[in-house]
Amino acid sequence: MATTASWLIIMVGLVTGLLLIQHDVDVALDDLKETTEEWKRSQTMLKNTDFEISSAFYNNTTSALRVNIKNSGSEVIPIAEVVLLVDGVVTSFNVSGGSSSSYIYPGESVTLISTLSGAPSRVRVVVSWGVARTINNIRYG
Amino acid sequence: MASESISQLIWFIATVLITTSVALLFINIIDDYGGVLTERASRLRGEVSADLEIINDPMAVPYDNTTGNITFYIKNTGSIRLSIVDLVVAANGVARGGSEISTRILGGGEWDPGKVLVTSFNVGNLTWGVDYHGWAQTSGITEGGKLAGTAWDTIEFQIAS
Repeated sequence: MATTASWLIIMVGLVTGLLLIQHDVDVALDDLKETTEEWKRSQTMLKNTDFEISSAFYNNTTSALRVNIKNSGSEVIPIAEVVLLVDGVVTSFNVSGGSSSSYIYPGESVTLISTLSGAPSRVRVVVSWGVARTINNIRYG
Repeated sequence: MASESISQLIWFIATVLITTSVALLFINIIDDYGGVLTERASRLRGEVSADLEIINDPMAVPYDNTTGNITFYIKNTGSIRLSIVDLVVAANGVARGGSEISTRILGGGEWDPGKVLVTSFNVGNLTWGVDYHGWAQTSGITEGGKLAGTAWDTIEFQIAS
């Protein structure tokens, strides 16, 4: 009698515990699932984001720097995320070319144009996910 | 006979009390475990979601020889907002944070994903042509405003001439 009652109480306790934990487990599993998917998505986007600096030209007369970049990856690059560093310093620029004023689509080339106070020696461009390319063989003319 | 019944009754009550205590203990343990599980999953999500990258040109990090101020450009490469208040940066073994660093976001606003934070802080006596080590670290912020995860990055650099 006592043994049966004990088992019954223990089982009721275990079942109650499992019912209580079910919600927490569901929330935790959802979190882990979303985390895994987010990580996979970001890794895929990082892997697929690529670009090259085709050329950089500085016009001594107009003080204009023209940097041609090509989206050589398979991800769209938002222009808002493009950062131009001239001799290590973030520099503002205008964008010329491309089919959109907001994005650089895969395969497309655009020109970053900036007016500088002096001839640059190094140009670095950073896009989404921190993918960066540097060029130091700038043409002058 | 009567004493045997009383003995059995006492034994039964004792057994029920003990097993009830054990069952309640099980419930508490399982409930606590559930809370911990949820918290750990949430923390893991924060760790994965919070990320940053120092995007300076490693061969030309801006440095003011007069003031001794160095400038780092730090991009939020994660998927959640990063905390500016919790930012700690370091160069050549000198770590700075809080009121010791000046910060601004390129384009304004908060330090949201994709945005670049410009931070300047004082590190004296850096010399051109010498390799230095720097790092930056901060916390992620969830939509509910809670701190979640740590984002950090390192850079080997030289100062701009």
